[in-house]
Amino acid sequence: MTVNMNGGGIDKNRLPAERTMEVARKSLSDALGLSFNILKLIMAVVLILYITSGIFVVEQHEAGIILRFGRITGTLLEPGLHWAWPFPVDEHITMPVARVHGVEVSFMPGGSEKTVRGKQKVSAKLHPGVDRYCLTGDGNIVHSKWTIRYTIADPVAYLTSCENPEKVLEAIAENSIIRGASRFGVDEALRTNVDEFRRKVQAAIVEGVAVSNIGFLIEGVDLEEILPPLQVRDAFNSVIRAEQERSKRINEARAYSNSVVSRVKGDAAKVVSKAATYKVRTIESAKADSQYLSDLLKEYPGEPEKLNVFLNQIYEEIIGEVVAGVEQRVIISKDDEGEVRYIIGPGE
Amino acid sequence: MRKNIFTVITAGVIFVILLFYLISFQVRVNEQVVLTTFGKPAAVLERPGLYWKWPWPIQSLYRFDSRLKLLKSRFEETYTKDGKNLIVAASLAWTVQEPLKFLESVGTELEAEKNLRSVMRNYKNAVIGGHPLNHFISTDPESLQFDKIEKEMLELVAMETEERYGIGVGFVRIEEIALPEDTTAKVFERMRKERERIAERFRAEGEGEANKIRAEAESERDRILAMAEAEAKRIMGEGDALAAKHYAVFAENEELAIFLRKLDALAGTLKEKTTIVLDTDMPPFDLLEGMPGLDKD
Repeated sequence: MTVNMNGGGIDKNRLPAERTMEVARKSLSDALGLSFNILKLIMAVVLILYITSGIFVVEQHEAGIILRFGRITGTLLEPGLHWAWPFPVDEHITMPVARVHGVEVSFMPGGSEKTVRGKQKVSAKLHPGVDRYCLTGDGNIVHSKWTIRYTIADPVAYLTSCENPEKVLEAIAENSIIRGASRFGVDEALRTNVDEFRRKVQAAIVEGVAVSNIGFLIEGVDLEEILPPLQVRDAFNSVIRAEQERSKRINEARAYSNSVVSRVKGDAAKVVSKAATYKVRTIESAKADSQYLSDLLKEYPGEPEKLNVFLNQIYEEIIGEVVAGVEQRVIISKDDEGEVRYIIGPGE
Repeated sequence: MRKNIFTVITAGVIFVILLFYLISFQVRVNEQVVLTTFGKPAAVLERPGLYWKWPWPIQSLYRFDSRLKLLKSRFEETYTKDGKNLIVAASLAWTVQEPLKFLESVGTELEAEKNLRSVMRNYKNAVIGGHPLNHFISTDPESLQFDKIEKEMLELVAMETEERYGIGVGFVRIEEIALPEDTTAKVFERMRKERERIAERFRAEGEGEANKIRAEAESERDRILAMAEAEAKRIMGEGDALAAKHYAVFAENEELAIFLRKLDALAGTLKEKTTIVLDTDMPPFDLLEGMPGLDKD
């Protein structure tokens, strides 16, 4: 479609005005024809786009639903390429059913812990609605942070039960957490029974989700953080320190006890072994003595008058030995005039 | 002429589509629709699907979401039955239960929420006022009554909203229980004291336990030592007894035995590095006095 610009075929004998009119009419009709054709092209493209708009992909982690005139038709669509009637007949919705989602529920302080010029400033009070916390069964305050992991298990329920299922899940979780906290003492919730606390919360969330029928399956409930308020954290830390000190003292005492007992065991063994030595020695020396006596008795002269000589002999023998062994010997001879000292030995 | 036919068909299709739009409507799976004829309610359509209607202005539609919507109450101080000041926030899930009544009484979701909020506030405070604090927090799980409290709130709210606004209530859940600002400072004071007490108890326990262990160790030591000594005594006694048997031979000549033992003892006493002082009367040093048998005078 080209516009004839050279004016070929126009009668040169006609009046110039008439000629001009004809040229104008011709170009107008050409222009109209052109626009009409462009319009047709656009319409064809729109029609094709409209029909192909029904083609959609359900991704690997998704499930699809087709609504025909607003009503759910057919079964859940598997991952892959699908086609539905275009708007307004059909509407297709895909949902990430295989993905695990997480929603965070925080009962943490919002405004009381401020960092002012590098220094942490703590207000003495908590502001309701800003600083979030749970009350424990014994009336104390704890902060905690949770993550609830879930999947969409029932796409139809997810679609039809609530305007905002995630918000409902959050409400259920918050409710379960304050319920859980309200039955434990602060020490249980913070330290001694944390897992039981978490399990109670999880059970409550699972039940709440089932009752509300929002189409979620709870994969897990994680207690990310649980801690006492910053305002009293020092006091809590001092309890931990006192507890450590207690076990340190007990351990020290145990070590002392072990060393005392093992030392005394050694001492006891020594005492016993000394006694055993004594026993052996006593017996052996008795044996030797009795042997010696028996030998002497063999030589012992039966008559009493010879006894003194015999005894003297033994006596002098032994005294001699004894005196020879000592370092210094002083022998004193006494008479009426005075005494004489014989000093035998190395002297002073 | 062919061009004209195409144009006519196109125009026809467009006309049909427009007409279709004017005389039909869909109810989506999560909706309910009230159809009015000249402003008067003609039908309530709760099932999803395609429906016909007269074009505007004869018939018009009001669509309502049929899903549960969440409404959060504001933070407010309330008193429990035993006079404790609590701040309880709750969320309420509501839905349009009777679309006709809803349309007549409130009309829009925004208006509905405004009404719900005030109804909720009244009954929330009333219900909380009927329960003591230990129904909310208690270390004894038996006394906790969240289910009952929430159910009471739900029933009271639902009774009024169903009747007046056609609003159904799905659930009421307490979302947060807080204390007034000034009370938190007192709670902190109490918590601090309690912690100090516990720390003190741990310290005392450590001291006591350690002392006990030490005392036990010492008594164990004494016991072991006493037992060892008794054992030693027994062994030594055994030795003595066995030795005595050997000494039986001494009985044959008691005098000699005693004499020998005396000598033995003497030899044992006089070890090296001692000085002994002897008298010349003692043999063999009597020799120093003179030869025996010789008269000095």
